[in-house]
Amino acid sequence: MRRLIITAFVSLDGVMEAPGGEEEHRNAGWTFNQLPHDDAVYDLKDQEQLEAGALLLGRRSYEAFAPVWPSMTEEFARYNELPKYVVSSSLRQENLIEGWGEISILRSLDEVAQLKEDDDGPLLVHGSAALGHSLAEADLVDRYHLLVFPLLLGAGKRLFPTTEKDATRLRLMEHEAFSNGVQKMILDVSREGS
Amino acid sequence: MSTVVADVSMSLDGYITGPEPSTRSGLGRSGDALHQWAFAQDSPRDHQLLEESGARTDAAVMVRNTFDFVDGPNGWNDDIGYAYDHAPSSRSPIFVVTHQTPTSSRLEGFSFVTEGVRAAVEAARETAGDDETVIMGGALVTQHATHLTYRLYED
Repeated sequence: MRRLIITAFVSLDGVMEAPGGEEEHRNAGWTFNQLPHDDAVYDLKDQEQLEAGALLLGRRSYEAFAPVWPSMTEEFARYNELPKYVVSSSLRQENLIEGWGEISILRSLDEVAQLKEDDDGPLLVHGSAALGHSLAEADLVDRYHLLVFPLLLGAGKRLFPTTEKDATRLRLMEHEAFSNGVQKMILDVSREGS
Repeated sequence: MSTVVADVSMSLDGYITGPEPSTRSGLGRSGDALHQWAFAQDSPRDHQLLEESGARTDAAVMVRNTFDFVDGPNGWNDDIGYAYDHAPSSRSPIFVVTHQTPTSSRLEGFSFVTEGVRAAVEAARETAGDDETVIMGGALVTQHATHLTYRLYED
């Protein structure tokens, strides 16, 4: 079994949209333009890239990342090499971008569940709000890597789904607070007693 | 001047009650999980946190729905509730935001404010002096007060 990890920058009120330079959100770039920088916050990002076995992406995040990441050879050297899996019912095989490693399209969450049966390294989910919700609802998420920013961003895409669901218990595996108030939380989804 | 603190137990995805909170069950379905830490006897650290936040507080604000639960038959009693181990007379005063003052109440120590959240927070701060004013919820008054805080900062 390989572990499925959702990793996100998230505000205290749960917004995960536009952490970087994206322009579609009024607070775009909130990870760097709202508070002082602390290098240590980003150690987790380096560690994730080293440990990842593949990237799992929603269609929208695939379309946002695919034109940009391949040229970011320094930042994403290893991610660019890794296999990518895009979960989408509409994306067409012939429209996939060239030169970004092996890309496969998964048509359903069943195919994600199947992919988890392999023994390769962790499946990492960056961005991909809608996919993240579906994965959480289908109980396919094993771990969350969160960098919680001391911000209230108001409206914006949420990391967690708001659908009616029984409580999910999370186990805090690792945590750290940084000089700029960002908190790292590594949380395992607890399946005890289920 | 008193600092206004939103003091609330929240799930990681941002909920402060379970679904369908009511006067019968103030925390809604399965909402007790959010507050178990406060009742658990086995964690000295949690206990200390509660004690400290209680000691810093000198006034509190809550919304009418929360009051209706608190004051109702399943609400606060001699064993459970805000500063339940203090005599009512020594408990910090609580200001309830409401459209209409209730004609009677079971518990003592509540004042009713009909001029809105800002007025309630101001009345509480006045009382609290240099200690903290705590916004106890529910969600609507916490959100409203958060917006007010933004405005106060901007002012």
